[in-house]
Amino acid sequence: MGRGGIGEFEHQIMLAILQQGGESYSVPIVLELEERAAREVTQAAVFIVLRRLEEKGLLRSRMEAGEESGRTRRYFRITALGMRQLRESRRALLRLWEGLDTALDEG
Amino acid sequence: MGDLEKPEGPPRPGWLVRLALRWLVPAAERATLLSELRELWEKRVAREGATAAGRWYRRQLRSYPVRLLRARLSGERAIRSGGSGEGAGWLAGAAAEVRHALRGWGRSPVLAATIVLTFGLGLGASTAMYAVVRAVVLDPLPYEGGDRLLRIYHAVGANRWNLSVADFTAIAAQQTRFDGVAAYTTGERTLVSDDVVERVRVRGVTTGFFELLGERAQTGRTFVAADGVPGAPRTAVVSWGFWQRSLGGAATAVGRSIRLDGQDHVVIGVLPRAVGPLEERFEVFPALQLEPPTRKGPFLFQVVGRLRTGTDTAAAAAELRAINRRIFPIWQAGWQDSTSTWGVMPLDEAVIGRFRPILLVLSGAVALLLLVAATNAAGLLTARATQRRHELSTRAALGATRTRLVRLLVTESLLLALAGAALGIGLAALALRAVRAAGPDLLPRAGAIALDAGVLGFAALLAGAGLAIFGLIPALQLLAPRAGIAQALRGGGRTTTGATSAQRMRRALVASQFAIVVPLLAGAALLVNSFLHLQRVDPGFDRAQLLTMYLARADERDPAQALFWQQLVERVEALPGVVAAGVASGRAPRDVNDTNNFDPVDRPTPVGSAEPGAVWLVATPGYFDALGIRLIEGRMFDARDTPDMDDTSVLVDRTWAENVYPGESAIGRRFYEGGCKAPECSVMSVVGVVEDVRYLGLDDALRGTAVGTVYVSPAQWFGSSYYLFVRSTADPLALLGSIRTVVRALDPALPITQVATGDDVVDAALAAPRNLAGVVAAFAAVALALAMIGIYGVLSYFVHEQRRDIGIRLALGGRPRAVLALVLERGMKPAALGMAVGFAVALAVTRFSARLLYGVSPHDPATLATVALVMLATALAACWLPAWDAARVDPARVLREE
Repeated sequence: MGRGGIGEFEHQIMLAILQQGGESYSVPIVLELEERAAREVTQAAVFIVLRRLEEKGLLRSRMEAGEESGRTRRYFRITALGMRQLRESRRALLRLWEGLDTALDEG
Repeated sequence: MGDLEKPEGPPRPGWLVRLALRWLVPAAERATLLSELRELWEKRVAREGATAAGRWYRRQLRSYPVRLLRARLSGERAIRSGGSGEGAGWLAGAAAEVRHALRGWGRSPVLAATIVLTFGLGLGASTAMYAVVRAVVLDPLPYEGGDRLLRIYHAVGANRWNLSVADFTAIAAQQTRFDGVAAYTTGERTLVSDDVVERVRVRGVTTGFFELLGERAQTGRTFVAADGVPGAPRTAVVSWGFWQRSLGGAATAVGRSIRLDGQDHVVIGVLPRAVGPLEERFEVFPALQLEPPTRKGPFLFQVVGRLRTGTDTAAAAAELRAINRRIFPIWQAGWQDSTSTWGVMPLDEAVIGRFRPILLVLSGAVALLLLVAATNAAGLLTARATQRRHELSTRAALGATRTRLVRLLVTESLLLALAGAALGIGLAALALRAVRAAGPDLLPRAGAIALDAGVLGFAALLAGAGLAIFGLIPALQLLAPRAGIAQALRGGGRTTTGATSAQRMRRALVASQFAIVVPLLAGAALLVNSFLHLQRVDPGFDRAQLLTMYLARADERDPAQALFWQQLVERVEALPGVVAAGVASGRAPRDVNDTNNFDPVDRPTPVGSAEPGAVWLVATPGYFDALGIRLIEGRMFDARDTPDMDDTSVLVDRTWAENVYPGESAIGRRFYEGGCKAPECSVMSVVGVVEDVRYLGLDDALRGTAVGTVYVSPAQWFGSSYYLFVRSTADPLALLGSIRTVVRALDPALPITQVATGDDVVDAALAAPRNLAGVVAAFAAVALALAMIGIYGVLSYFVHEQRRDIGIRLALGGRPRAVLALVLERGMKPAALGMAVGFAVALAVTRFSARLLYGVSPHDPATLATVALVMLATALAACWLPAWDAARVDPARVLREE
């Protein structure tokens, strides 16, 4: 996994959080990833990566006790730094993809 | 996590997962992780069904250990247990250190394995021994206020006998120094319940017994005073094991009736699973109903009392003696021994007293073994450290700090100590399982032996000591300023200045090893010698082609009893292949528990002194034929001996005759038995003298005050349980089937137990000394081998180091024989010194084994001389090879190598 930038899995998780409305906890993230990537995701990996992203300052978290379930969940939100990195990596990717869309569409 | 345990929940995580979670994830996060996984599982159950979800869940859990460990090792700050980020870095550093150390040991695997194996063996044996000694000897009795429990005994000279009903009732009525006293018996009875017939171990107890010990029933109740009133319905308390096995473990078992020796007993309570040493070997505890005594004997009861607070043992003993004197006149007509009195001893002493010397000897052996193992390991490590001086010097030259080198050495030692400890604890666990399985028959309180925190703590202590030895010796040696790395660097790794101190240390280790091995080997040799003596003892009967078994009928006093046994013997004698058959109430060499006092009519015991005692056996004439016991004088029992005779006919053995009537014939002599001198008591009359049989142990250890053996005939003496003895023409066990048929035809409810051939019973009597000698000898052999390795290592290293000097010496005309002598001397000197110290120690400590020895004195010169010879030969053999090598050093080659 990249030290400075964002790794692929990290990227996917951050996008999944955005899909969930910018703040989410691991369960919907796992489900989201499974649905979109159509493969089984390891919960422990998600758990570890979420905390690594927080260490990197790309996510921020808070604990919340659910009223009806009685379970405590850790909700993650993307920080400003995280948003900036996402945008940068998207821009970089888009630049690389320029002019290739049609070439790949055929395949 | 609590919700995981609901039945509808997902599968429970396995131990590896739980371990990974505990070590790798902080507590707060752990709960979140599992609760989220559970939430995902619930969603999956709804979507795919419970089976698929369960599989998914397990898959997820399986990924935990590796994922979490990888995250932790790669320094993920989130997956840490402490508050600072240092943990992961430290762990990664330690992991590298461990890898490094493992590689180091990988280069000398034999050395590492030797150290781990010897240290592990020593540690395992010591740990197991500690667990046993602590549970059996050191721990207080598991009774509340167990230190105030005293055993009250009948003191006749130096012997401690049981008490009688007369004794017990007097003590119970008159004593003021105890909160209470209780009496109990030891025996076996035949139990009949629902068509099942079995022999059970029974302890009859007075009604205050359980209350006195502070023991409560787990189900039902224990006794009340009304249970002990003669004529009241018979009641019994049963053990947990009996309740489970024979009563189905149901609460409804309380209130049921069981039949013991033909008498119905109502089960009123079940004891808890864990009980004290007075209850542990017994299954049924009927309440004793003591009738008012009519005479002083018989002495069948053991008595225990709880000392009242504020009084002491001496005062209690004085009071007991006073009560004894007070009741003496009441029974004086039948009991004239005014010197016999009552005494007290702590109950724990009574329970474990005879095991103490055995455990002491074994503990000593184990401790010595551990010492040798540790010294040996130290020696090996010293050698390795010396060899590695060059390697470590290079490391130092390349910039490794002193701290770093010490860390490496310590990690290496830590690995050894840990591996040794793991091996040792594993071995200890196995050993303890075996001891526990053998149960209270092997050792009292065996059930309490456990590998618990205390024992593990002890093992940790030993491992720590091992670590200190393994780590400190090489580290000190390397880093000491004088023999330090810097010097090694200067000397190019070949200097001998550093090596001299190492050599000195190794020679000291060799000396101490020999000093330790001597007492161990001496102890083993004494025990083996004693066992050999014991094995040669003539038990007094012909053990070949002999079959024995125990038959116990209900204890009913009816005339049919004698008839039954007579018929049994006749029918067994009629079986094809049977040479002779008979019954007797005891079985040599150990299974005799009836001794009786007697008083010759023609030379009465002076008033005020103790009557002599004799082993008392009821036996038929066929018994003497079956065992090949020769008649020396007079006649055997025959048809003349009937209940109608005035006197009861008895046979006595040679020892009895020689002791009681030295130089005269014993035939026709008459004596009173059991203090029974009233007119209605039958007087014994000697009709024959037979050869001796060892009934009191092969070593005669149980002899006590018995001056010989007296036999009475079942025709004139009541008995309900007998050993059957059958001599056959061929394999005695082949007769078992037909004997069974005979017994069943006469009494279908009679169980046959303790079947053993003549060889079996003698072997069984030899088992304990054989095992003890075997174990100690094994320890001694291992220790001797270790000492051999130790001295060999020292010398071969010395020769290796001195090759150049030896070569020069030989080149200058030195004779190989002189070199040989030089090296031998170098090895034998510390060995001899160590042995001298060892013998001094051995002379001081072997006397502790005196109680375990038969026919050998603890200072037996022949045995000790043999030990000295063996040790010298061993040391010489170990020194010879390196010395031989030295003498054959090729000077030309050594000098060329320069």
